[in-house]
Amino acid sequence: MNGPRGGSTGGLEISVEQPADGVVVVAPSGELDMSNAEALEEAIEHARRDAAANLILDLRGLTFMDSSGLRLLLDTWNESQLADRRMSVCVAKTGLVRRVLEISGCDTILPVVADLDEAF
Amino acid sequence: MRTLLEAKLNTGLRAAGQARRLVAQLDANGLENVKEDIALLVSELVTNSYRYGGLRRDDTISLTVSRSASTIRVEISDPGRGTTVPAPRRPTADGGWGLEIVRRTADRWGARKDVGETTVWFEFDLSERT
Repeated sequence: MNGPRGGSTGGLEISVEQPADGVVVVAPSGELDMSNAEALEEAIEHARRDAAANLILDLRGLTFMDSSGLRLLLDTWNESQLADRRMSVCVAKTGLVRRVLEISGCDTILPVVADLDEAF
Repeated sequence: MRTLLEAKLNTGLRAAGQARRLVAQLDANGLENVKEDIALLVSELVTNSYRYGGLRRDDTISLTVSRSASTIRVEISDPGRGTTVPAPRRPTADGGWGLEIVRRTADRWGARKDVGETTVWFEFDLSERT
């Protein structure tokens, strides 16, 4: 299925929720790689445009993520800092996504939380 | 070394996922502790071939997996038109993470460039991890 700009979500399901005023949770599930990173990027940009002061990326539903996802997380973090907006990345304490963050050292750069409550 | 898998992947955005699915089908016997890492590194290298190999639409990316009693080896080749041997660079938000993740995760890795072919390989020791 093609999105508005022709970006395929390639097996990635993306849910966007606003659980409180100014808070947006973007939660992809499935495998995140180069085939669908752009679709997730668009979903994040849309969520941002809706004036979210606090962006929460809930990655606990991802069964796979490689550096295509890492790039996206770093980009989003850089943009959040420039715009002076809050952002958190929610990642399970174990599993591949946590491991990719640790191998790359990005767990010390990105605002990573293990529990969604910590992000509010 | 005994060859476990030899495949040619069509280049494109879906090539990394196809490569991961092939690796997931490998007989897990003795590979339990490295299968997830192998899938990650294969995904990184196929992504690099697609992004930096300068491949044409009908080019293919080769994936070969072989093992001995103590080692598993994976090679990814493309008919790369890139002019340099792949090497890790200081990663930035724009990229460069792929080979750096390979370097930090695999027990050994290397790259070579021949005429009309760029190959990156990595190995994991199996005995250490069981």
